[in-house]
Amino acid sequence: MPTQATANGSPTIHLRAVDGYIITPDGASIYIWGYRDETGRAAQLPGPTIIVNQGDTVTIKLTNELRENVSLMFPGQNGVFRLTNRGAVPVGPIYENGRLVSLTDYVPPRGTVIYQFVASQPGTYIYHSGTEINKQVPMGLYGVIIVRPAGFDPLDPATWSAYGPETDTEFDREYLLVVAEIDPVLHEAVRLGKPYRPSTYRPRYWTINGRCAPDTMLPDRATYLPHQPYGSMIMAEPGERVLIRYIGAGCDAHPLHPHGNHTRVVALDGRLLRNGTQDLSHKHFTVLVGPGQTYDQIFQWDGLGYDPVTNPIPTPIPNLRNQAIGDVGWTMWSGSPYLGQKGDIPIGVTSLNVTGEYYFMLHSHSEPQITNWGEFPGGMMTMIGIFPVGTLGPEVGRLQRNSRANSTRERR
Amino acid sequence: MLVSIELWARPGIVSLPGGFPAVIWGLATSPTAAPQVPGPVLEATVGDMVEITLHNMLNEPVSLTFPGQEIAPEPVLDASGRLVSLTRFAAPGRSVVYSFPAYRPGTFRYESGTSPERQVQMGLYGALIVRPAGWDDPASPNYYTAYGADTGSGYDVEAVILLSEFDRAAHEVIATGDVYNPLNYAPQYWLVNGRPFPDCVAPPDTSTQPLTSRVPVLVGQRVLLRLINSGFLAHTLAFQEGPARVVAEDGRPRRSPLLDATYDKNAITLGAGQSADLVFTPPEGEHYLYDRDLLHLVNTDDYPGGMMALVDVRTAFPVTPPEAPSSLTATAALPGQVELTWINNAADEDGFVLERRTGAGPFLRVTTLMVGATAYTDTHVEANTTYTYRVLAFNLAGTSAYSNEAVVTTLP
Ligand SMILES: [Cu+2]
Repeated sequence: MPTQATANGSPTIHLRAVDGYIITPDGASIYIWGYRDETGRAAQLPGPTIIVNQGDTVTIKLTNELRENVSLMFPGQNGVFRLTNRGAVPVGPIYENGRLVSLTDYVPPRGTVIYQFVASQPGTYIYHSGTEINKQVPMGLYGVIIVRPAGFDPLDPATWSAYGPETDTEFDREYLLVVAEIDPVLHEAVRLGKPYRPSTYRPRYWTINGRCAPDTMLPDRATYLPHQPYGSMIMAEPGERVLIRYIGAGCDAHPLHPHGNHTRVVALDGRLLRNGTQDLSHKHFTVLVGPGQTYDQIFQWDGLGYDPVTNPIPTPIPNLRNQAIGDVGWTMWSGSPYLGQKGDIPIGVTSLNVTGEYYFMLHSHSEPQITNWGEFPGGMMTMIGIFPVGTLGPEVGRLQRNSRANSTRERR
Repeated sequence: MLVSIELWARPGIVSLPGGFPAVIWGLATSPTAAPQVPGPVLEATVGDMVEITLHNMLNEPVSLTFPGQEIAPEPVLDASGRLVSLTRFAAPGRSVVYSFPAYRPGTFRYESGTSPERQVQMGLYGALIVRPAGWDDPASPNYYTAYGADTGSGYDVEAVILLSEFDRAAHEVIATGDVYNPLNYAPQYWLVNGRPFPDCVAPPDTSTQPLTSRVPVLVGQRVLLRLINSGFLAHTLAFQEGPARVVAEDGRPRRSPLLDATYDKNAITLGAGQSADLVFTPPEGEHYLYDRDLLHLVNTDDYPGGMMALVDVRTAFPVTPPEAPSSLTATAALPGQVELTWINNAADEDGFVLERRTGAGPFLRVTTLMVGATAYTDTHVEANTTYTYRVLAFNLAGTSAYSNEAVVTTLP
């Protein structure tokens, strides 16, 4: 079941700024700083997804378990306060000895700060540290806030939309793709307490939801990626409306596209692209995901109408090289060009295709970024899987606030 | 009306954080005035005829182009047919006149059209603002609008936010007349209106970097930000307190009688040469606009610095400048640094500008400090060198007199 901070409209989320490690598909272990919630033990990348309802008074406690000051900024939320013994005070830049030390109210090591704001507008937002942001955000201190529109009921699919009724943002399944970069030299310098020169920043890893391909395609909360709980494999059935939220959490812009398809951009930075009756949503093949920006899209795969009986197409077997992934000759291909059917797979190739579903890639078209430290394939890449009608359960494509304890997969 | 503007292209010196001088080529408003980086903001009203006379006091040909204006470029080829200038130029010691009608309102740029890969970096660029007819007439529907009535561009306060980069090494090579390889371009400074943070929030002055990026606003006022990217790289500016409404891009309004295509953004990416006009009504407080490529929030790797601007929203502005600081002392207790202390005599200062000179050289800004500062450690000093320091306080009403001067000779 998805975990919504619902109830009384005043959810409290307790985050801790902590350190930890993530792993990359090439076997590297990278020291990070990140946020975790009550259920985690170490930092996770990205931080826990915070899901609240429009109109909620959101209270976020931040406990600092790092060795330096840390904070939270909520770009796109207005009227953010810090709760003190003397009441609520607006947050703002902090100066010490005449020097800007934080863009917002911070908490020293071992302390706790409480932020509060009203989530007045639905949409997709980022949160991140506002302290030493040239280091702390690349280190991993970032995450996502989703504000559900008024009337959203997680138990009633008829109410599911990104921006409310009459906004043409209704969806059947939704996915969150947070993109960023990692320069492991920065992370190692921070781990060792050594100086780092920002001018030498040179990412070697490009992540979606904190993972590099092919780990991006692994399920949510895969036990072997304990600190990278969010997958980014998009799965849907033909005709379904899929909400895809792109978030740029890194420092660079990334051109993302799903092969052979367009998405319809319906909102930017948590604001619907619509003025009165004028619909400003527009279809894009490639969306340039800029840093600090969010892009909500409705994606629909309607199929090409091919059927082996009524509308057959010539079906040459693809070149072996074009179907295998990796040295061992795995493929995601079904062996058939028809959705819902499986065909013969060449000797020596193992198909991981489940039920005749159809996969195509979604990736950064800045292609050095689909490598892990230069080795293809990897990096900022995932897949979209189109499954035959009636084969995907309702639990697929349901966004959950991170809670490892809530993981249905782990419980089983 | 004929708007006649005379500009003198001259070499000059800017002050980079730490008190480092660098040679620039800027545009001055008289043959003896300081050359400015960026050049003066040129202003005209629709219906004006704009006539710009450029006097060349440099040692190489110089020209100006006006992208977006009704002026046909006249490329200049040399005898062998090689392009030597994108438009008519002034030879050293000569002048050239450009004229064009201000035919539509907007936020535009101007820049050198001769070896722009060198001359624009050296500082030959600036903003060109064309206002709608009637913008200053309270009886006109265009009164205080950027693009005329019914374009959603009404404002109370406006500010040009002009982005660029600065590569000290490039300036050194170009200023000495050596061959410059543009592929080596690697900026160490990221500027708003010609200054990096924190100097960009100091008051306007009469130096080679006269423009501030502190935008004073009274609560409830609508702010028009004219964002211009005059650099060579794309930049993303994020709003600490957004979103703001994008009412125009590249000098074209996004609203017409048929379609309102304005939209909100909380961060905006501008490619080199692009502009955007944004309107918002920020609440009381200090709200930074910051380069969302967080690695650029540095001055030669020192954080914080780089590309920031400050929207400073208050209920009232001070009416008198602050009292001058006094009892400035400079002590060289350790090699490689100078300790500075002073007494702050002001109750309403926003900050301090600390300057120094080397020997009998000109005073250059070392840094800008925020409210309450009474000490600073200058670590960018040479050994066995005599420096003279002075400090002043500032607020939105102006600057104080300078403090006493403190002289110190650094340790070996
Ligand atoms: Cu591609």
